Amino acid sequence: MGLPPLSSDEIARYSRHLLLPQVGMRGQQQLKSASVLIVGAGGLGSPIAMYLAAAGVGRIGLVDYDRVDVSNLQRQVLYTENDLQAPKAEIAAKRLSAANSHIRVDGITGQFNSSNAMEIARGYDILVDGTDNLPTRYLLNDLAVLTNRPYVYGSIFRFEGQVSIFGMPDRPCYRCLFPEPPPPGAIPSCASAGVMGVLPGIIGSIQAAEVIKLITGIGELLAGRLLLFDALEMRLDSVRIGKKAGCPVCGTAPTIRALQDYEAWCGSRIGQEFKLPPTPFDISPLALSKLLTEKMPVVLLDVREEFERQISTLTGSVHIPLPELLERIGELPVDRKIIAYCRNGIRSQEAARLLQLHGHSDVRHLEGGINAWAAIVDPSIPVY
Amino acid sequence: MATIKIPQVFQLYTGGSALLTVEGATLTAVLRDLAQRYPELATHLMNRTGKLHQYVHLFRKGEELPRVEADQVLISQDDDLVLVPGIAGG
Repeated sequence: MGLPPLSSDEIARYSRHLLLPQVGMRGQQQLKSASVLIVGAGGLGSPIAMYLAAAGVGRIGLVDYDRVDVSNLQRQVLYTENDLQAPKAEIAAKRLSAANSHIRVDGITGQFNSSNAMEIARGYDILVDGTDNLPTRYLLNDLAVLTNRPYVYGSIFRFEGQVSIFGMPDRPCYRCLFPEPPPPGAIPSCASAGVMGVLPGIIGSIQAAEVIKLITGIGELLAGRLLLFDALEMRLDSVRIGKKAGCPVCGTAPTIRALQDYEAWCGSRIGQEFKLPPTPFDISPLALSKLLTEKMPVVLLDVREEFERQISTLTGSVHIPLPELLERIGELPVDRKIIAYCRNGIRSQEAARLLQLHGHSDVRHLEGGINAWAAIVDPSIPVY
Repeated sequence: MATIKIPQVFQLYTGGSALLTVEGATLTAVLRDLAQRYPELATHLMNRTGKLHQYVHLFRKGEELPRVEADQVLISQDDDLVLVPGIAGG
């Protein structure tokens, strides 16, 4: 089948691409005939979608289950204050269609999971990673390998990002690089650890560049290499990654021949912040409020970092960041009830466990952290 | 001493340090030294036998260090190692 011709309007619009000898008329026609599915319309998905739409990729699919939240606006540049609470995929599709009327944009509101991924991805040439979780990354990888399509991977954390292309013939896949996911909660999300707003802009733009190179067949692709970006040191490095013969999905004797239950595989639920199972250490915000009202002698122990105390704090709390807890444990009385707290109850549960292990018998931690306290007991405290 | 660049996700266990110096002539020795100096970090990087978890990698000059026979992998004093974890944000 021949490549679609460009109209006079399109020729004028894409002239800066047409002027590039590596792209030219043929490359622009290839872009017009290409279809790309972007899974996740958040920090990474925003720049990926905006640049691919501007570049004239003929069909763009955008999947996201979420709605626009005010905390998204620091980095998700597809959205404005007028879009709060609206479905991201719907708003994003409107914005992209308004940016380029020559392309087709499909906004798909809903979860992308193993039961619908094959159907949603049908007809798209390339899968692009805009997700914020590990289960969807393993799903995208397996889908790409099983259906012989490239998967353009990107991921971010605080000031650092990674980019690669998986699923290419004779090149490694995501499972070759990471055969096993980390235990649940071991790798924090941006929602719990923060992210520099411009970081997904940089990483997503690199992913978009790789997609354009894939479609037009130019340059050296990142397949077989992992690009590492550090915004604090402003360093860009790449390391070589190898294909594993024993890989269960792309190896010589694959055992994965269909999509799996990726939430079970990773031990985490998509769209839900990681929560530790209940323990005897838990104390609810209301129960703590009652203790404090009754003036029970307790030590409130804040195990967060110093910068977090500038956002919110519980009056009268003692501050020992979790990484310093063991070396400063002597500062805490052994004959008083200690109630540890953090942002959302993960670090404080670990603190309670450590304290009990080291001789403190009466230890609790605030369930849901100071954010739960703010939501349930004291709305004057900001949630972050 | 060789250095190891620590990614943000593990800096919680190094007191915020992004670059650690480690002693040892082999990868096994370097990992043992790292575990002694930063026991909390070690629990996130290695299993009980001192082997790196599958979701972290060590690279030197852009090439991954072998996981098997780590006691045969020689480390020079001026080696700059890079630790690479899986990350999940987007």
